[in-house]
Amino acid sequence: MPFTAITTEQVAVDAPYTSELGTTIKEDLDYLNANVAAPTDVANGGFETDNDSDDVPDNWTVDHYTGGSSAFNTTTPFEGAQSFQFTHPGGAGNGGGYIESGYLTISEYVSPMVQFALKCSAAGTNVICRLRYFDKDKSDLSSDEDIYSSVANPTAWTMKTLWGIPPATSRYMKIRLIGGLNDTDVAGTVDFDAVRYDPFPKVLYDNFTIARATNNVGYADLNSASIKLPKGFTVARLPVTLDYSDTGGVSGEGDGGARYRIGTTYSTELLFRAVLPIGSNLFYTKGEVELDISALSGAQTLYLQSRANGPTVSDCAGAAKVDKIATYVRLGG
Amino acid sequence: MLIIHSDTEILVTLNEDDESLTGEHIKNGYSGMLEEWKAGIVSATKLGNAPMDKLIMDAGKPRLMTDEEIKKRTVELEADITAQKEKQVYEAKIKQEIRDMAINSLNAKEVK
Repeated sequence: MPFTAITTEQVAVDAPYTSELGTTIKEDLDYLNANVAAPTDVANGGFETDNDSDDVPDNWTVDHYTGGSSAFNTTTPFEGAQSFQFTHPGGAGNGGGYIESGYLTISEYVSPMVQFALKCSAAGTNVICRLRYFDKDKSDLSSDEDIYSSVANPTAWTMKTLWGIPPATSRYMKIRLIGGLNDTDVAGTVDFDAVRYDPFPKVLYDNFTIARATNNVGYADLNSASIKLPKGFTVARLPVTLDYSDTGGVSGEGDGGARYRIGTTYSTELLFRAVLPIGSNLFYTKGEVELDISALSGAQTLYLQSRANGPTVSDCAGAAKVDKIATYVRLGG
Repeated sequence: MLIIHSDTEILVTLNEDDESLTGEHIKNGYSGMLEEWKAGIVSATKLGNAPMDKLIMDAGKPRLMTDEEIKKRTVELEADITAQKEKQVYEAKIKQEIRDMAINSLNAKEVK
């Protein structure tokens, strides 16, 4: 049924209530419900609305641990006019509380992306972002996943972007933000704001660190990193740096390469072939390789490999001195 | 550690203990040696964790070098580097000598 506008005259002070008006209101509400029944964003994710003035943001539920309290923070929000703040009073067994969204539609086949802004007055407060998964009938699958869990939290507003790995039969999830879990005795306030989600993100990013190593023969695993791959994604784009040098400052030809592997799945290679002049004993090649992750998801061990070949090339290290950014791409759909 | 090798050369070292996956690794990551693997020219040996630079091929199989062998190799490597550096210094001296001679020759021409 279409949306029917209600005129000002129909709701004037002396206008009688009619069955027709009641039907129009019902049909308009049904129309709106059909159009917003499955929003692909978190309703009231910025905690801006509290129409019933119960100090709980509309479309969210709030619970407190012993001693905990919560309130809107209208002084220093991350976005809009207010954020939502828990207070952990300190003391063994005490805590702040948690705020939980309504049902959000997802699929078991694709990792949903979740974003929220976080600020704590004390870094050591235990903060968790927990995804609670439900099946199509909204039955709790009891497979909660903590996509953020930290006692080293930011004390200035920081946006967190994370993703979940939905278990089989997942069709809905709820986002639970825990500010000051009662297992950690650290007093302070925890602010949340700007909660967003995307059920079918096309691109996700993460960082990882792999220690630098040297290899001057055939391909070998240099070092590894524990990473988490999203579900339903196709390609991981991974940066790599190759340092290659000669031996003792002597000129000569050399070639080599670097790549990654997860199990028996290998990435493309970053290759070099160089003629090294006398006195120039270190060169860098930086690039990005691609790894097919269409059959992989969840916790994985990523290995960095390198090789070098040539009379004077002695140092071939695809290495990370700092964090590297991995890009996960979901092709199609 | 899984080492994929020929009779004379270490080709790949993987932090992997499952020998049954060797074929998969070769197929996916080292397809260039697939034929040799099928022909039995390439084989795999499992060793405890060992640094790549302390491995040696011996009697067709890789093994960890003894302390004595590592010392000997280090001495040889250092001697090699020293020789290379001496050669480099000598070459630089020759270049300098040739340059000086050329400058002297040019100066002599200008005086005339």
